[in-house]
Order: sequence, then C-alpha cells, then structure tokens
Amino acid sequence: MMPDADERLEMLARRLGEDRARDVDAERVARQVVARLRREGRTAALAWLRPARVMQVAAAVIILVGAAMLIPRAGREPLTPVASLVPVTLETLGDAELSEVLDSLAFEVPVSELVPIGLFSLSEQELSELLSDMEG
Amino acid sequence: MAPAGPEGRTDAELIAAWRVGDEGAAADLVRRHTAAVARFLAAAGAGDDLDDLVQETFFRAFRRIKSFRGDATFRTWVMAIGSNALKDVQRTRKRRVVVSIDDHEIPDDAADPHGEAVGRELERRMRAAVETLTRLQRDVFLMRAQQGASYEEIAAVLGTTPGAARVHYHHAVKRLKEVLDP
Repeated sequence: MMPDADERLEMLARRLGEDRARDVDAERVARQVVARLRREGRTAALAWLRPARVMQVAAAVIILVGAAMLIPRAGREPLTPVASLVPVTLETLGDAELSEVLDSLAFEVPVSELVPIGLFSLSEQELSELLSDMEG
Repeated sequence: MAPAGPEGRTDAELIAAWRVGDEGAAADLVRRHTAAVARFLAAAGAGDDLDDLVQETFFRAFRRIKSFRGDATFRTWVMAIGSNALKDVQRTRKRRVVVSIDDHEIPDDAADPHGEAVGRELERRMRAAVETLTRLQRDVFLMRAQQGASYEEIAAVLGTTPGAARVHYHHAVKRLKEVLDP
C-alpha cells in the first residue's frame, strides 16, 4: 500500500541529513567537547588567581577585620551608618574607594587598641626605644 | 524515559555524573546523541561546518546543564540548543552556502541507480522546502517528524505550549506539501 502524503513527508524528514550525519565522528566530537569543557574549567579556576582579584579579596579581609574590631565599640556607642554599610558595599568599591575606606577606618581605630598587637613582636631594644619616645 | 547506553547508564544518570565532574559521562552523552543531533542540524540547514556545529551545540549544552529540568529528553533539549547555535552561525555568514547534495548523497555502488536518483531529487526538494519554513515551524516539524518527540516535550524546549507546537507542526506540513506537490 502506498503511504499517504503525511507519511511520505515524515519518511523524507527521517532521511533528511542522514548521510551527512553519518560522516560526523562521534568519538572525535566527544573528545573535542570534553577538551573544551576542561579548558574552560581551568580558565574559570585561574580567574580567581588574577592579581586584581587577589588584591580585592585581601582588601576585603582587612576591612572586615577592621570592622570586627569596631563592633565592640558599637555596643557602647550609637551605631554609625558607616559601620553598618561596610560589609554590604565592599564588593562594589573600586581600588581608590577601598583605599579611602581603609584610611577612614585607620582614623577610627583607637591607638590604644592597636598597641598590644605590636608590642609582642618588638625586641627588647625596640621596646626601650618606644618607651623613650613616649617619655618625650 | 531517557535511553540507556550499552554500559547501562541512563541519560539522567550520566547528567548527574557530569554535574559532579565525571568527564567520561559527558563523553558518553555526546557519543550517544551525536548522530541524531547531527541529522537534525543537517536537516535544519547546517553547512559544511556540521562537525563544528555539533561540537558547539554539545559544548553549550554542558555549560548550561543546570538549566536542564528534565521536562524533555536530553536529546530534544540539545536539539533546541543546536537550533540556536545554527542561528548564530547563519547570522555571522553573509550568505549561507547551500551544499550540493551531489557531494554527499548516495554511494556509487547503489543497487538501483534510478531509484537512488529519484530519492536524491526528493531529498533535495525536501531540503529546499524545509528552508522555506519559519525557524519555529522547522524545529517543531523536525523534532516531531524526524525524532518522534511529543508536543509536550517540544513545547518545553522551545518555550511554547503543546497546542501552539501542534499548530506550528500542521502549518509546516501544509507548507511542505505545497512546496513539494504544487
């Protein structure tokens, strides 16, 4: 029995491109696709090690540490808007802006809170010099 | 149900394995579906760069595997991605080069040269007819007629409804009949 027009059309559709598809080497395509995926994965991983990215991460860590040092003070004093905004805006800041934030934090932190951190690393001679300086 | 390969793993299992970094699973999926995807792309109008296009299609598919929700078979989903890749390729070309069917079809040792010649001519006309369809009509028609996909599945990968897919299919069939049997 002759196929009707719809069946004939579907038969033709099934045949369409069959010969050209047979020429495509599935094994080779699989190798190439996996190689491209591997390359892209490596590139994505390396993107995290770009110097600019490292600097941004380092700056963010420093600022977070600084902010953490301010938190005890926040309990004693009214919370300033700057303290609450710092973690939120870090990712959007440029290098210059990050430097400004760092500078502003440096002024906020009382010297008395920083001294104990440095004292442990000073030699006996350096301590003597420091005491002399303080005495004027 | 997604097909299982000779090693017995289904598409879903291979996709899950790829998601946790199993490159072999990705390779198995490519091997399993390359022929069907290549046939779809060739029928849809891919040029001499069919190899590259198939490769690009699978590469894009694995990059966005997270968006595969499983509401269609992996193969049909990859074909929709292939259709987009083909569109991008065709857009970058000034004019798509139509590959002569004589370069690719019919082996020399054909048992019935006359029958083969008729078949070749039919296929050439069919290809020309498919090129007159809109992209959506073409994709729906090929997924349905060539791959046997359901309207629900086609709708899921082409971002339309099963009813609209059915309408596109019937418009495509009507148009193809007009071109093939004027």
